[in-house]
Amino acid sequence: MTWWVVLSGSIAMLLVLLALSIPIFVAFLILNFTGVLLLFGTSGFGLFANSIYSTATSGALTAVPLFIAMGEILFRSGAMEVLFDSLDRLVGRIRGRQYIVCILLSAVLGALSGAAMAVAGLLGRSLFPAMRKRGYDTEFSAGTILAGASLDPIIPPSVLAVLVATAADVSIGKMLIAGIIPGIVLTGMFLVYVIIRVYFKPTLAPDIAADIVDRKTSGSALGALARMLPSLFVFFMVMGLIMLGIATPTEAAATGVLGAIILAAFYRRLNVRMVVDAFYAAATVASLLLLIMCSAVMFSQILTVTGAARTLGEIVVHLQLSAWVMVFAMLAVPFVLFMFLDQLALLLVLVPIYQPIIKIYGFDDIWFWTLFLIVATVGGLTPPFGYVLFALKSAAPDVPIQVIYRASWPFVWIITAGMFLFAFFPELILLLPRLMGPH
Amino acid sequence: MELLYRIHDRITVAGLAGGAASVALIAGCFWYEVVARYFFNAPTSWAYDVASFALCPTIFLSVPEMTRRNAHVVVSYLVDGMPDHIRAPLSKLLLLACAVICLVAAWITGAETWRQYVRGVETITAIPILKWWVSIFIPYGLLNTSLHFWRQLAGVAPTIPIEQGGLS
Repeated sequence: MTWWVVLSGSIAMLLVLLALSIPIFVAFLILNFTGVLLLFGTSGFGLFANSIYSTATSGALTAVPLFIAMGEILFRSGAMEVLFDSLDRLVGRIRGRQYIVCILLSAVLGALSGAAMAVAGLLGRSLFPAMRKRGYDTEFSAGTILAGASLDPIIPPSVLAVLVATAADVSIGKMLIAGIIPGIVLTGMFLVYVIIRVYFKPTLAPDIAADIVDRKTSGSALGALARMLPSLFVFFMVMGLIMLGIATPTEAAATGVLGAIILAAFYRRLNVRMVVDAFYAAATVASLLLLIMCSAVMFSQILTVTGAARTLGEIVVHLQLSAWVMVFAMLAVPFVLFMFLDQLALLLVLVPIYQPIIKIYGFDDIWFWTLFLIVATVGGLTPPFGYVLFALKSAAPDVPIQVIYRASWPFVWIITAGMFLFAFFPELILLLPRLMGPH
Repeated sequence: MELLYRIHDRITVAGLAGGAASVALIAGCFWYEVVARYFFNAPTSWAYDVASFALCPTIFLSVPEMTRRNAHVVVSYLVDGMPDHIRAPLSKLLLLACAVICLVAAWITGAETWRQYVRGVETITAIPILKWWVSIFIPYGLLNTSLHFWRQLAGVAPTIPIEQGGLS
């Protein structure tokens, strides 16, 4: 069977199955079962079984349930309320301050967990109604929540970064750390945009006098900073231990869970039920994600065995496109497809196709896959089918989906502008991973 | 039949408890490893392997319950927009496809696990163990998942609120 039949046939089959709303893991199982049967016959069944086993026992992927458990414990620990109060105090007397609090809070939450849907849902239920009640513009408030939530898969710890790194076979630790500077830069870009918008259109936010009548703005700024320190402890337990070389990413995920438990105890919220519930949530969410990984891994092996990935790479070389055009094309394709397809499904299809091209062009793996991670994050924000949009919609059912769609676009373009920045200045992504050293 | 369904549901729910316990085991292994290595200078040879093995039951003990809850990640916008007279039979057809492929996958992985059992295949780890001790969870998860799809197809699945999983 020629390589292009395998490649185009399998992608077409996958798209049809997904469009028919078949569960993603089932679509991959059907695709891979068919591929194995056609290419190897029944003698390939052992390969099929072993590809599932090897993924299901991959040590690197143990970080996924642990990061989810850590986020669940933190959401229940009372840390969120403390962070919100402290940031609310620190932002002070600025018109549109709740927009700024929202973005900063999301960035901090991103440094503690890393699930955009969870943060969009959390802020959509807590901060969003409060902002609307105070007279903040509904659409712009929704936009800042969506923008803030989109930071979470970029700023480590991030489940999505672990999955991208595992699928692309790059260092998980470096991939996580690579997200720090882009996350901070994007936070800064969002803040600048919000301040400029409110400056030129003051009606987007209520008058400061009406906005500031809140006891949370009392107390010293130093005290507010001090109250945030315990939450930084959890960040240190994950990223600090990785950067210091004390723990591997998987071990750091476990120490992060321990840090979250200690933090919950510090806020006097720790109880057995909470920890058990967190482990249950971790098992449910992780099983859904990792089952897709287990079902899909065989796809890359099929592409490799048939020579499809290698031949596609050779064709790309013959095209003699410049590196910049190639990077643009490789990121534009998922940018469009993520609007319609699941992030993980598309990731698992594109990784085996992209890997030989990355090698041929000599792109830095961490740089490229971090850009890809950001594109995937944008996918959660882009209408019509971004997950994060629906998470906010379900948290605020009275807000029309069209308003949420409109709210997301300015921030999609800001992230896209940020991606150009990170593409042209790779050090923004690579500086911290390089400081980490070769391992 | 009702009794069988109830037993099946209880096994499935118990499986999820096993999955959650496996997450705790993963965390415990890594905590032990970090403490042993940095406080007692005595790294273990088993912690990483046990944690890796525990991932398998985390996934495949939990997945049947996710199927019972109808929580698998799907891209449903095209089918949602279809008229009822097309959508209903299509949904049945898709459930059938799900049930069959999971059953086939359970059979393939079960055959491989049986081969490992018969031949006494061991894991390639610092402390080898019998491979089927770990791989047995895969056919269990797929078979149980298939049974839930069959029950949904037959219209005898419990009504549980639909949840959508998602990555981001």
